[in-house]
Amino acid sequence: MPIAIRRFERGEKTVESIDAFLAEHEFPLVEGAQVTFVYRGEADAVTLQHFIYGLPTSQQFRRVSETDLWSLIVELPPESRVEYKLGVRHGESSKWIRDPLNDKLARDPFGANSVCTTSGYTEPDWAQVDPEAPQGTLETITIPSAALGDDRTVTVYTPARFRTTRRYPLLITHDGPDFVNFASFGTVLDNLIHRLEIAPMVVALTHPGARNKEYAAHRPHAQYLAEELLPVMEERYPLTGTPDSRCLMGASFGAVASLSAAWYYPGLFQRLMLLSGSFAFTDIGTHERSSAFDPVVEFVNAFREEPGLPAEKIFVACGVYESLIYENRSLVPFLQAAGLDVKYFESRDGHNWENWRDRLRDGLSWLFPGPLWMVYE
Amino acid sequence: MPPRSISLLGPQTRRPNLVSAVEALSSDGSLASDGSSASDGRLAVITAGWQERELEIEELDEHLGRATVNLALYRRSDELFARSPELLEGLWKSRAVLEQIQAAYTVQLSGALDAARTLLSMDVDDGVSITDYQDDAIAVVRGIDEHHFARLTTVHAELEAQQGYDTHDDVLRHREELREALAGCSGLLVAGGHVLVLLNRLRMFDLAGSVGDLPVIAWSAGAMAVSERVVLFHHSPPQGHNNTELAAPGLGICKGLVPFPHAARRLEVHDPKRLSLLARRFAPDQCVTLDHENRVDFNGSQWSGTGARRLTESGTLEPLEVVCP
Repeated sequence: MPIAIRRFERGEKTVESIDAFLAEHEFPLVEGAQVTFVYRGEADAVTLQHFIYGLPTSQQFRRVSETDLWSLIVELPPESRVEYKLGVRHGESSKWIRDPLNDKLARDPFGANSVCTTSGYTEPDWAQVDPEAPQGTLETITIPSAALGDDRTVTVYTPARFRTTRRYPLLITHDGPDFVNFASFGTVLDNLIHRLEIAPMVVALTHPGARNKEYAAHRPHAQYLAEELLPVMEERYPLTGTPDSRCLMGASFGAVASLSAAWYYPGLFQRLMLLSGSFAFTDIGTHERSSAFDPVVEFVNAFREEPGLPAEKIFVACGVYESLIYENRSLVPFLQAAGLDVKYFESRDGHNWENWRDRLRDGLSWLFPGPLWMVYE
Repeated sequence: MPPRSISLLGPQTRRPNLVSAVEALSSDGSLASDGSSASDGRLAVITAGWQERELEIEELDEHLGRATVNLALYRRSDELFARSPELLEGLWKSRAVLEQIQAAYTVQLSGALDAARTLLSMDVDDGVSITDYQDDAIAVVRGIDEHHFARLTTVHAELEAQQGYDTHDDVLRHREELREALAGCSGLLVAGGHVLVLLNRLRMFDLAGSVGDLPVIAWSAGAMAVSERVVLFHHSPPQGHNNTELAAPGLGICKGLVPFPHAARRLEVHDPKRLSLLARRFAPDQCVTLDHENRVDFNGSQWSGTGARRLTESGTLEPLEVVCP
């Protein structure tokens, strides 16, 4: 049986039939592996602007003849989650817009994208607010940093039922506010702790400064984490205080900051959670990424030369639709060969916050397992 | 002496139904109400499963609308360990022994459960029956459980004898204090938490012997600990295996039921094959779900349920109406 848009194209094309066609379906229309994107409106061209590495970044819609309806069919595997925008051109003027026929949005620091998911992908229920789950507390503290030459802001998450008489593991999260705002991190922590799937923990959500510089394997930033932030956290909060109870986490350049800090201070942070790490490297010659990657490549090359044992357990994840999949796939066997305990996960997703959100349960429950097998409250 | 009343409840975090359980026992005369007896209606409470939070019972008292008598088993054990380090050392050794036995059991169990699940899910042509293979596979699982349970019962008894709790002066002093405390109460509440820690402290202080015929209300891990068999379960944990396993003999105050607290979250309640396997594995005991606001009551001769459901051998969840142990 032909897919819906083909059936529509063969039938009568009136304003009413278009209205009916749009009302009958949800868009993008997923039929098996075929996904139909649709736009309605006058334009000179419509394109799909997506972030899937490996496919042409911009794909042309085709106008359904005698109508103002545009469509594009793309093949996407099951369990895919894709963020996109539509490019709409009128004459010389063109703009990217969110899909007017799709309410599903993913927010990020630059605004929001439309979201398309295929069969098998389910937005995790543990990322939704659960009225049963008591909420942790967020407070903001300031850390004077001699290493970075200014004061640094850190938002600290303490779990519900926080007690100073207990001892908690410490998770230091790069790009902390973005994780809270765009990856529902507070909600995820509340839920996973409530479900006993992860240990109650204190999370230092660091606010980035000059991000591209400081997260790019910058030694003063590592010094800030290890010699300034960590002592303050251990002084102010009831932390377990052992290396295996300390974790550095980050996404993209934040993952580089995490791995490099652990490498500069081996054994201090025995847990790492590296999401879509920007681990660019060269075997020979120069890299083809932007100059922001220069110190990253220098670090990753040096790390590959002499990895040592920066941590005991490392969770690594990457989306197969991101350009960094090659670097992350390359890193895993290398880490394993160095003797580290590595868990690696690939998703059919891109370089975005909801992909990182979706990995939080796998990563945190492996690095800091909760007591759910033994505790029934 | 009338037979003891028991109520088992689901989780009491949010939407607690402890008050209604207390009121139900009060109204049928099982719990003496305030001022009507020597006990003055006081309730003893065990929150040892909460471990270091054991003494933080303000919310519980607030919910009940009265102060309870916290038996403080966890604190008592901490005091014991501080005064008699050999008891703590003995506890660690016991735990190591039990963990190794449990590891051996889970290896054996894993293979048997894989076979049973595979056979229960196997499609066969019309006219072909593999029921006998399925029955055999479940019998193998039951046999492993029975052997493990017998072994656990023996080993627990041996380890406790080695620990010397029954002759240790400090332990005996605490037990006597607990007996006196319970004599002044009209009922015992057992909260949830870490089920094996709770069970360990209940055994250490011989609560089964001390509780006499006091009515008992237990929830979540508390319900598991007072039953005959402590069964650990989670069908979809984020890490590790998901094989339901027998972990310890319980106090055996509650007979004929295997409690499954927080079943809505922990069990694949829409998977009839998994539910059927559980029901058949632990039959003739009834596998009973204990979710929020659920309650099952034992009146001395039979169980009845409010909200709680039982797993059937066909893999459905049915209301627990009346069950005779």
